[in-house]
Amino acid sequence: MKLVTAIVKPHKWEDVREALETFGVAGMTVTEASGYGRQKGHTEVYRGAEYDVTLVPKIRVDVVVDDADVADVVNVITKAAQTGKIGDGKVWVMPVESVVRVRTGEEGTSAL
Amino acid sequence: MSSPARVHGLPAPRSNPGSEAVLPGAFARARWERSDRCDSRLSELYQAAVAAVPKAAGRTSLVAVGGYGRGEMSPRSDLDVVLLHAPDVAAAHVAQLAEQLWYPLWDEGVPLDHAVRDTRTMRTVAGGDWRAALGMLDARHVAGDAALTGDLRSAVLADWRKGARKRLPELQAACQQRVERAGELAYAAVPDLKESHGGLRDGVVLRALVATWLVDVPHQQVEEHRAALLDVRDALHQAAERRSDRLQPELIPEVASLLGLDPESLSRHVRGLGRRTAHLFDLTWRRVEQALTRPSRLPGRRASRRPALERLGDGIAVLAGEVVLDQKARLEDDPFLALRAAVEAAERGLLLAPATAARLAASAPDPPDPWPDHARRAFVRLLAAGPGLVGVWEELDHAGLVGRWLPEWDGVRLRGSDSSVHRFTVDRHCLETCVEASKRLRDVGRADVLVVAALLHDIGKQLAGDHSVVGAPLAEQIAARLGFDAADVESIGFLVRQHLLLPVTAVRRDIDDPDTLAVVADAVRDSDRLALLAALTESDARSASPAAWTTWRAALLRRLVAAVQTMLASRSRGGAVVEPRPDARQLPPPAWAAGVGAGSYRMRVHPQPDGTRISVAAPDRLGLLADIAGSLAVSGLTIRAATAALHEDRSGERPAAVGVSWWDVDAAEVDVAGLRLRLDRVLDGSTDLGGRLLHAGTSSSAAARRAGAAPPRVHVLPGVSATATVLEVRAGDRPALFWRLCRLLADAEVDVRSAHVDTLGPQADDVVYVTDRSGRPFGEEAAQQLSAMLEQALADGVEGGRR
Repeated sequence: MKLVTAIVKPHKWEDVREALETFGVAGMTVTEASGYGRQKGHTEVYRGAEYDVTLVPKIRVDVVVDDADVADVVNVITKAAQTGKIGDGKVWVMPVESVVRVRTGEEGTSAL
Repeated sequence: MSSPARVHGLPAPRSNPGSEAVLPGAFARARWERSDRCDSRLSELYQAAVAAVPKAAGRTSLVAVGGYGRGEMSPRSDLDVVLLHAPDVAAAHVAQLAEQLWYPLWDEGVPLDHAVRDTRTMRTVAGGDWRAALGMLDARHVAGDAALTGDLRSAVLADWRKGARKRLPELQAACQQRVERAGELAYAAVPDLKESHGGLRDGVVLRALVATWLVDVPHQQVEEHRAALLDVRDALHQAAERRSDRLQPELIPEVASLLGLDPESLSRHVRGLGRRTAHLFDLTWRRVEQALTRPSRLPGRRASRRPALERLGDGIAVLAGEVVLDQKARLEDDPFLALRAAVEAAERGLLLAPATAARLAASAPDPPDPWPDHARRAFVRLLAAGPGLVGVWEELDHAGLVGRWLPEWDGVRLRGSDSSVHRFTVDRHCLETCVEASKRLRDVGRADVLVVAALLHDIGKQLAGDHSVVGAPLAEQIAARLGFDAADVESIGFLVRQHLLLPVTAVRRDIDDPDTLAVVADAVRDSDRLALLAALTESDARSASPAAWTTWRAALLRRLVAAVQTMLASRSRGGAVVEPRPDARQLPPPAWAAGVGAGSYRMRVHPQPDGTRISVAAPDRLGLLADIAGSLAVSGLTIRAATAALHEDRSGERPAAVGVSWWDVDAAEVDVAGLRLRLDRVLDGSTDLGGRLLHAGTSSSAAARRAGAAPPRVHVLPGVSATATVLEVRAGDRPALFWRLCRLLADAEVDVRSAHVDTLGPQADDVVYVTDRSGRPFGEEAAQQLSAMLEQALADGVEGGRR
């Protein structure tokens, strides 16, 4: 099993969710996140005062998937979140040792 | 007695629940009957007990305390009873008597809360624990030695009154902790009828506060609301079939049915009771605070019986921390007296006395349509008053005045919100949005439009459909009735219609896409409206709940606004320079001002529908405007609007610069002779205004004293004039503000070529065209330095009167 984490633009979140649900992903964890990538380090002026926009608002999506689905899920997220502009985000994959469904105690892929 | 239901007088389950309960007073009657039955049963037990322990007879009694003492037993209430005995009754006899009393009740399963104490211990316990004291204040004799109970009651009441000044701060702190823990009855998703702010516990505390003799409350209102809440609790006990004070959503339909209401009406009913009780609770605590700050009367010294009225003018005064009417008030002639009283209260952070609001509502004529300018200005000041608005509005609304001013308000009053992100009802949310908007007045050019839009932004929630869309025509209709001109009505309608544009776009659209920005820029059209919409959006979100204005959402919104601002700025570049206000320098002076000679001046005074216009012409010199503004200020005249310009007077032998200014002041009548005398002395230099005006507005103005008032802002307006530097000053309106601004400019040797002063509710918006002594505009850096100097000096004036 793998944990797929995606950082996407907020307005792309609905597209990503729809694409994942269409693909068959049953559940996911979504978080409001802030961060920066290669576009870091600029400031903007708002009502006459400079403010730091180094931390750009994003949406973070975490999905645990079966090993066989990892490539497809990454592909689905990437296509759905892509605008072709700076700040589209990142997707990364990490190994997951175990998953337990709290309600039933099921373990492994059956808990997904 | 075979079951607790019989002890408590629980009626048998009805075949048709609610058919009996909806009769007026049915629940109250049931409560009294339950208490009566408990009294009878306890009397029987007491008689049997003293027969078994005759040595305890005569110097013992049974006393009902707490809710039972008040005769307010709900179906599942505890039975709070004290076996009271004189100190000299032997402990063994008392113990025997107690056994004879309590065991039968325990056997019957009665939820008994009992105590056995002598009169001395009772007083000691009441003296050390305010909870016990509150229970004993409602002590009621049930059986045995009535004189013993009577003595205890008198002693506990006397102790309570004697120790009130020391004990009430502790009680107040405990109440505040309870409110923080239990929340507001009017707004909680699962209200606690007993512990919430506005709940039954508040009603008991109010009784205890009245018992101190330090304060009084509107008794009938308080008792009616408490009885109505008790009815709801009784129905809740019946529906839940257990003791519970929390109105769980799944129980609401049955509770509503028992009370003869539909579920939505029950929710509104409970919220209304909670809101009013909470308001009276807070009002009474404020009265307690006032009473505690007054020294207690010394023995042998007669206190003055005359009320200490602080007159605020026009029939309005402050008495003991509440705004009231004085004997000069003309209730029948003035439809907006209540509005002016409300403004004075809200800006000072005081409350409108309930009796005053009721009297105003009963006597004041209906407002005309449209409202006159002065009434609209007062309404804007009320909305922009900050946190003081909420309590004052509650009083106005309860008295029925809000419904007369804004009939559309009836549709949102106490209306729950469909969105879980909202912590308040729709009406309270709108008021909280005004409070938030009052912190952002300096961000916008039209403070009046902002606060009215804040009040009305969710007015459409009473109608089906998208509330922004259906609310806009309603808001426009109200704005027109309030007397706004067509352009402002359109702006208010725009803000209401688009109040979700920025948050929706920021979160759900690609804000890096120029097309997205163009959609927003096309909708707002100019940077002034963008600033208004941004301020409304932030105020709306902050007042909804902390979840609606996270740093994440704020960052998205700010990025969007900054990007749209940049797009709007790039669109406006390359256009012709348009001066927003006329620059009259090249025009000849008006005929009446032509030929005014050195060392003299001319003045004209014209009555206006809602004030007076004063026109002054004098040979130009540095500080001329400051001197005229100061003369008006020391004459007690409040400048509402002003325009000033330099003219070239060619009527004489040589061209001369003449400063002509027009001043709109609030006063309907002006002491012309007195004003002329002041102008004579000020303009010839024989009177220095500085000493009299330097501190004006730093202590007397409620607006300036208001906690959290935003500091002044001074902006350089770029590209407005090719021949002058244009500064815009936004500051809280206060006496002598314009004098202070002009004085600061004169001290910095800056010429004021023209000035345009406007007051938008509580905010003064002054635009001044200035030049250096040679008549040229300042460079960019010098203009920014001048702006920063003014901003700092005006802020210092607000905070401490320094300069």
